[in-house]
Amino acid sequence: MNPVISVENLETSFFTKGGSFRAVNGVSFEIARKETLGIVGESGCGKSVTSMSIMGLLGGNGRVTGGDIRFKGKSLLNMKTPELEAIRGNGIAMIFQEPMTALNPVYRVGFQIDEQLMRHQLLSKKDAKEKTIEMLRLVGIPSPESRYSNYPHQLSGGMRQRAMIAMALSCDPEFLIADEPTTALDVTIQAQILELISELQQRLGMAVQFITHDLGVISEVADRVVVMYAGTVCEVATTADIFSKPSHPYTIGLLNSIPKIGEKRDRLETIPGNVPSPMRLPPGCPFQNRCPRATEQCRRERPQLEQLKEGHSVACFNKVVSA
Amino acid sequence: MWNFIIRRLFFTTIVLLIISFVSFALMALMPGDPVEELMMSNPSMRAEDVARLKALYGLDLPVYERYWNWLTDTLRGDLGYSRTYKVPVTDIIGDRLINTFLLSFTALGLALLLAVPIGVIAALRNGTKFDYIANLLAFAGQSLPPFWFGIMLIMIFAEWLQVLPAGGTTTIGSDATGLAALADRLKYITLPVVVFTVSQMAVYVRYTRGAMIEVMRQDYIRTARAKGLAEKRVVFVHAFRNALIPLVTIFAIALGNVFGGAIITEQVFAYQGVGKLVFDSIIGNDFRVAMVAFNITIAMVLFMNLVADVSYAFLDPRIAYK
Repeated sequence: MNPVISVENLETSFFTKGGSFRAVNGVSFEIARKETLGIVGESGCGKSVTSMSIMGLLGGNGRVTGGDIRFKGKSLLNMKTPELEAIRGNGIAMIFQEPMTALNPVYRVGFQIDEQLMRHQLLSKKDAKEKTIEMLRLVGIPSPESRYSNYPHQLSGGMRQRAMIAMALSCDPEFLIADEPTTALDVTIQAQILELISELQQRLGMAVQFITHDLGVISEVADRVVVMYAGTVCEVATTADIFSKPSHPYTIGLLNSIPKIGEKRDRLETIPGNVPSPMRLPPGCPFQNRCPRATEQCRRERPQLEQLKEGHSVACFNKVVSA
Repeated sequence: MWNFIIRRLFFTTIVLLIISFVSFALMALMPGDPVEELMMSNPSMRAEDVARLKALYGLDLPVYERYWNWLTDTLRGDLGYSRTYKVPVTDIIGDRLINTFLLSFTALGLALLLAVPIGVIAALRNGTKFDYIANLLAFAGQSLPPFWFGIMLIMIFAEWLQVLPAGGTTTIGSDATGLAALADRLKYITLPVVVFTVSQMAVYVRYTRGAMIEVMRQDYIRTARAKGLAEKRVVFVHAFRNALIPLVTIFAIALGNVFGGAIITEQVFAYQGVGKLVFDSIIGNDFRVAMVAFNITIAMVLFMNLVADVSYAFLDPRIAYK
């Protein structure tokens, strides 16, 4: 089946007064209908830049400098602004990390969803209101008729994130980018939101790109996982394989840093060192300075993604192969 | 909301009373009173005459009694008699008020009309040539002293080009009516309006620019873009409404200060407004005139602050008054 979205060898750079750097360097993945791809990595690894590249919202000094992004087979990079705007919020929608600030404080919640429906589905004001209330009900907001005319500050964080989801899904997008949608929420609310997203995904048949640094969340929602480090992909596998047969030393480090129940430890395990600055990436493997298995070759050459088996690829010269 | 407004109006009145007493007392602290000034210009006055005049005008009473007398007179609508103009205060203050309103509101209106679009464009093109030039001019406009700028304009337009009058409010002795009278006023008001507009504009350009830059960075702007809204709608519907909140504050303060703000401009152009009247009356120890002007200014400032507070509630739903 054709993927809904395919990212091929994406390269995104930022040009600032202090110099230019590549925040995303050769990232590729595809997501099919009803599939959820998890993207994991530390802050600054290029997760969000990848999604902003897909949305075409990099801002003034960011630019896609290489590769391609295709939505239903059509390249988004060659599109003119009006064409892109017609897809944004319609074919491709996004929910963000901070529900507290993602809604405009001076407009009613209902208005902010109506606006999108009127823009893309050309609904009348009255029809838009009806659809908005239906969406608010769909995402589990109680008494949606009265919530419709609330301002964002009158809703709790969880309710706001539900409203954001209602907004994102209002035009039946085929592809949803969820950028750390649960990070700012209480754990109990987190679970509800995750469940809601999966349920709606099945109902609407969306492809979902789920970005998070929380491996626990990934294990619940993702079908496949892309592990990113310093703008590159180090490992791609099914969720089951990532957790049971991790192969890249970075993936293993990430998994080891999750504390386990029933295990008593004086210190939590960490990956020593810091992510290198994208302005000063070393030649060779970007993970070399923190990697316990680094060799001379890692300092000279950059490892490319190699397939271990169908659906499991790793970019490492000294990968751990488990039986 | 109405509760809030009524309560605020009540406190405004109290503040107004307190400040009017303070300004009255300060005027009384100034060396010399009208009778002493009379005496200085007339050396043949005897001490008994001075004492008699002081008693006649109530100048021998303690400050609080004099204030009480002034207050009760004022509340009855008797604003007193101007010593320097030799007419009742009510006769001069009305025209002066209209003149100042004309000057200040034209200038404020022009300043807003020009500055807000410039500020918005500068913010959207943050870091480009347009932004730098707008910023530079805003700084220049803010730093130009009005008296210097006014004199420069007089030199250029009245002295060299001889197209506009150097000062005044209307042509003296002119009996023009209708359109001709309006044209005459326009000729006189142009230079003062330019000076006042430039100094006000600078502030609005910088505030608008700052507020817009701040707002355009917010998450909800990213959300609006992610919804596929056209950039125009993102800027004017989603960003501008939020940027208005800080702008309203400084605009309300500026409205409250229209009298004080125009003093220097009016003085430079000998424009017969309230600012010049206040200045002249303080210099001439004409406290009946000065007190009226003070209190109008204070009342304007207090009232405009109330207007600003009320308008917040309309602009920002997070603010509610109980």
